[in-house]
Amino acid sequence: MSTDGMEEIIKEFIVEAKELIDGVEQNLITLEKNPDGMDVLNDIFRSVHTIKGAAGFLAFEEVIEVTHSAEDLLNELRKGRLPVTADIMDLLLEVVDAIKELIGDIEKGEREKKHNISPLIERLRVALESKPVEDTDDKKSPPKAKVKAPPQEAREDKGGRETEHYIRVDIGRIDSVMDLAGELVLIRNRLTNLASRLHEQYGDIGVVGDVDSAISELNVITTDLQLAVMKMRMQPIEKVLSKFPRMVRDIARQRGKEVELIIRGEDTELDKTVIEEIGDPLVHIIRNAIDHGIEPSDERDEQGKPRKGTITITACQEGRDILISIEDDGRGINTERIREKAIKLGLVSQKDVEKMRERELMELIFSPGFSTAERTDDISGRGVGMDVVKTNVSRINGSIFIDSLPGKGTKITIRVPLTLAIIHTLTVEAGGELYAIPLTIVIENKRIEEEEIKTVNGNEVINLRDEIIRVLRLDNLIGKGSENRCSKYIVVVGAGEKRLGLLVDRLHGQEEIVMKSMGDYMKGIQGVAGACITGSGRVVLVLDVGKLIWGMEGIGVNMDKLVV
Amino acid sequence: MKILLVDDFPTMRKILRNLLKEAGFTDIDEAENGIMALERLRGEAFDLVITDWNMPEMTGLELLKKIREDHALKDIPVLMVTAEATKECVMEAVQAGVSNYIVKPFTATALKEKIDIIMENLKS
Repeated sequence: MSTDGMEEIIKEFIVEAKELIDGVEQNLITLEKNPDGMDVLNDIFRSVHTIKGAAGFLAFEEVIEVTHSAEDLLNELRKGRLPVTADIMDLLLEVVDAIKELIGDIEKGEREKKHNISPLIERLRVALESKPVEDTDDKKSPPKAKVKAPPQEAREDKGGRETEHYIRVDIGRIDSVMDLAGELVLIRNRLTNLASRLHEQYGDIGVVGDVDSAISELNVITTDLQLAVMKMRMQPIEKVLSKFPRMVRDIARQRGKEVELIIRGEDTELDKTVIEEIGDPLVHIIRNAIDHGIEPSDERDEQGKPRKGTITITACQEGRDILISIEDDGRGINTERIREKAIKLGLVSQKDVEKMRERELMELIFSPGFSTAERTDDISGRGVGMDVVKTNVSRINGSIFIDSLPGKGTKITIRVPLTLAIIHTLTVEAGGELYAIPLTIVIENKRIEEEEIKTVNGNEVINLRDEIIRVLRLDNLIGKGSENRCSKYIVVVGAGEKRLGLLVDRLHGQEEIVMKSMGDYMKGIQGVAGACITGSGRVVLVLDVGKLIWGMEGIGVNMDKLVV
Repeated sequence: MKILLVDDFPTMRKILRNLLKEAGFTDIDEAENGIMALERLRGEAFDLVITDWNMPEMTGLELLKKIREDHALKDIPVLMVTAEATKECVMEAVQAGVSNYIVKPFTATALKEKIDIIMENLKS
């Protein structure tokens, strides 16, 4: 074959083979649940066969070898000469992993890298020869295609459309369009600003009105443009969720538990960055659910629960947010154990713990170093759990909540914004500087007098309807002096159950902003996520409130539990 | 000479197209499944169909049978591409009226030979 276009073909092979192998993985899980699904099995066979065919032309010897051996085994399953057992499933899933690795190395340009695939090939051969003796009896009832599996249908459907209406675009190109759209928003804001100044100077005459109408048109178009580019970056959450059936299966099998995974709302779309960031926290929560939540089957039996535990992942859109909930029907969170553990770890004092409500106790799970699991293993219970989850979620401006009923189960809900590109903020002024606070975490604003701020244990607090809230003077954040005013505003922000009052001089209003990162030399500033430019051309610092709150946590763990 | 390529896997279509180009054939059209292939064939005249065997919904063999059953299409030569070349498979395809048969992977030269043989046979 000519070398021109060869690189291109290899690139395409990688992308398409990956899609096929992902489909195989999902189908294998479907097959295990429903071993009679002949259509699914045929689909798996065809995909492996297709990969082998193309790999043949590209001379990917190891891929050919693995797919070839797997094909032989699949063929026996297809003809009903071998039963679909959990061991065979394990083996086939290993094949999937091996192919993924091989393709991954080809992608990295390590075509020459040698893999030791012979043990896998050998095991496939052994499995192939381990045909049950009652072979002939089995032949009477070869598996029938009873169920048309939905995943296959969906995939084929997609495959049909893809070549017709879809093109692959480098994400960098979309991002640069996004950046340009962002710049456009800035200029629009500036023009709007200038127009209102024109108004002030010349009133509503002739050309000023024309400028106005032009700007309002520009306004509509920029908003639409931004939305359109944002949609380009949207991907169905299925991209993340699709790997969970396999994961749940593997962990459950390793743990000797029976777990059924139900996924709802996998079509829900969200920004690519959010998709990328949400994976790890979800993995962790699901692992916890299997490990600590779902009880062993016998224990469930005794409690009159179905032997098989259920984990339900639901994704849906709510306004500008996406809600993802992970619910299990396991043993729930034992607040008593959290209480003991928290005291033992010195996170809270005996006295404080008694005053804490159930919900607040559960929040302790998110403290660094907290883990109630007694044993430590490779899956969970290393004490680096939920605090990492929390940090990851707050990095994408999300929040996380726990609901749990002892004996009934646990529900963890993650709320993340649809997109990270455009942030709705409240702009405030403190010490002559402008700050933007993401609206998602603003709970309320209130005008207060300086005298209302009390000092307790060296910390400044206010009493807001009998709730004691710690105060942070925003003008101190970047070390500027404060204006001397008697009446100021307090902006109450919250992440989870934590509350913090930000003391500011003025409230400016709500604004949609496109955040820019701070650049390497200013990245380390605690509590600042980035910056943006307003319509009037001023620089506004965007606050990273999660960091601010957690930063204060270091000073005193139970900051909102101070008693006046 | 106008050729219709039928394969459900985009990479394979690319590979085949490249090989055909190398073998000196440039007038190539593609279809991603049997149903679309039949549509294309009914829409315009093709001199050769090169189809994969293993495809979802309609296999290459089924496509071949459909072509041979269709009064207007039955004389179009069909070259079957496959990774499997067991005796039964070859027999089945020959009985269904395949013009020739090529086993993956193959070179541009091998492909050209097969096409040349098909065209020779057509003349005689």
